[in-house]
Amino acid sequence: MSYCVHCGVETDEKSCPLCATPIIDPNAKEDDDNERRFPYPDTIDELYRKVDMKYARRLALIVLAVPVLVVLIVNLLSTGIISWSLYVIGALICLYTWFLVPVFYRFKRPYAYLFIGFSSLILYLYVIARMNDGGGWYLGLALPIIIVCFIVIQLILLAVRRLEWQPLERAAAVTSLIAISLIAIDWICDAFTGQVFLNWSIYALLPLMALAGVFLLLERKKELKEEIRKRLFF
Amino acid sequence: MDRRSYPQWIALDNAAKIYPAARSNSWTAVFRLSVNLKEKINPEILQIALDNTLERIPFFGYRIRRGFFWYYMDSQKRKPQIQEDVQNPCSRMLRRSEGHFLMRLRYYEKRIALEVFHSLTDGMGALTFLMTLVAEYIRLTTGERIESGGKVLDIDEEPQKEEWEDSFSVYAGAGRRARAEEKAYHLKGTPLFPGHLGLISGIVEAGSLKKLANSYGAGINIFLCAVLLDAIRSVQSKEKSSRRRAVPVKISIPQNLRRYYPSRSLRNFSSYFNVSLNSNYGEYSFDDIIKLVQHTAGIEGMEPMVNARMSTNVAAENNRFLRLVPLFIKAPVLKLMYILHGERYFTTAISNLGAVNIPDALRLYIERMDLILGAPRSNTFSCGIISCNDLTVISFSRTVHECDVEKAFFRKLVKLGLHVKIESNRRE
Repeated sequence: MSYCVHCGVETDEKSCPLCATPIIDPNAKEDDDNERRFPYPDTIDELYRKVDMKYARRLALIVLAVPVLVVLIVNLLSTGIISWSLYVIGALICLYTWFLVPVFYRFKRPYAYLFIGFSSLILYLYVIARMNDGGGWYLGLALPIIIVCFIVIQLILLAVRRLEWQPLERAAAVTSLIAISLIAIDWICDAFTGQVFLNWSIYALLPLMALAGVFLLLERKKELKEEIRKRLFF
Repeated sequence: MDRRSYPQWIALDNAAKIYPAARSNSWTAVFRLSVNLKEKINPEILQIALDNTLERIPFFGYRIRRGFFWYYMDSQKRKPQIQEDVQNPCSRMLRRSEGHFLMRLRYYEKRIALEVFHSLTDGMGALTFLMTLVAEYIRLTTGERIESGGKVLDIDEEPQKEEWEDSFSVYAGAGRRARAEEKAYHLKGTPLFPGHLGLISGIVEAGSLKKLANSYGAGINIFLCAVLLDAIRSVQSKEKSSRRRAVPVKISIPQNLRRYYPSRSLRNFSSYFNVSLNSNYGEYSFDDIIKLVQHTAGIEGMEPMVNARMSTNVAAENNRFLRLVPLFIKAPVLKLMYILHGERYFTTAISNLGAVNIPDALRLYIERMDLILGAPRSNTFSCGIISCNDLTVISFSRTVHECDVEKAFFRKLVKLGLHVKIESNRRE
């Protein structure tokens, strides 16, 4: 019979389960410890790390379904056709694909999330264009810009995930890709207005490319890199 | 009764409906009753005893299924298999690997443990099943036939219709009570690994405990509730935030409705009431706390109050709009409601099954019994109490590392002159 000196309770354990104070029995033999029976076995039933994703997905869908149904009914009652409610529904679908799909669905690589997100955006803008006779701006401006952004972000992701590259090499690749995407966007905008004349993108391109060059240079000049690291240490 | 005339499916009762919808990996809605015998358990015989007991109380072998509007219990040909006990009891139920049963029977050394999903039954129903099973196990191992009585059913008798009755719908009246209450104080702590339950059990002599409780003019249940309120209040008084210190401490106390109505149901038939201690009003002495619990229990224990609370829940379930909503919509909403409101109004629950009423012949084979409540969802701990053979076992189950309330609780009992022996499921 051993007691905790702080809690006053009897226990067979080595330390008090209530306050963790060691229980010392000067008369105890080594064999006593081996003979001690635990009230519960060693086996542990399966434990869970994961969040209940199935429930979260279902709940999110129901929460989104409520405004969708409300605007659909209001739209139908007020105009007799499905018209402006598509703006709200499309926006909700985009929100779902951008913010909830990455949380609720696990893909091995992140490219699928981008594909789903950009696809929903392309479709949403298409619906808006169709409802406003905006086929021109959609095909000439919105669609190409979205595709460029999609490709550039995919490439940036690829560059960032190339772990065999040095961090500064990856930073140079990202900076260069941003610069190239700006040129592409400028070109698309000019093409839409009918006169291709690269203007503002050049001003963005030059410092960005210079920055990329500095990153590459720093990566090659180890001593300079170390010196900067030393000075900027925090 | 012919096996064919036994219902092949049973609608869930009023209390049971929330559990399948609201359960999760961390909140399992499982509780556990265990009995320690004087001899080591023989697993082969235990399996036979379980099979025989399921013939007597067949719905314990049912599974839960989804209907279009509600869940229901469905019969199945498979029979539950006994399992070896584990360190972390009350884990998730209704697993495919276990045949989706609503109960499991475990054994370890001299112990038989029945773990039950709360949709199946409440503590009293589980106690009857376990005691009937233990009596059958004794008959098979020793040859001694334990006479039925108390919580032991006659194993040779046919299942009785009243045993699977939904007593809520039978005894609900027209009275209604508001359910909204003031938010309760909730303890915080460092979470244990998901699926793990920290257990600390205190074993005290039932006779000494009763004598001590009586010296305060109270019964065991009232006395232990008061000690627990006092323990939580002492932990709350150390909170740094004045806002958290001002929130009332509330304990949820289940009520066995069979005490009020002539129900023989082995399914859920219990309600609860909350006892609130508001530290904002000033300092309470221990005698004050006992009076507070005693008077609250007195008022809340009056039949009209009990019936009105139960009837409010039954009326909500019978709402036509709610009934017509498909389950795939209803279930997540019910779960969300439980997350937001389920444990909002109490700090912890204390469930006391009291002194177990069993035949004396069976008592000779039993060392002690334990009642463990499964992990609460947003609260950090709960407390189960049961007495058998002059031993009262007070079991705290918690989902956090810290056990400050348990420490204050048992230290108070020791200070009041009780001898307490402590056990836990941790590994040093």
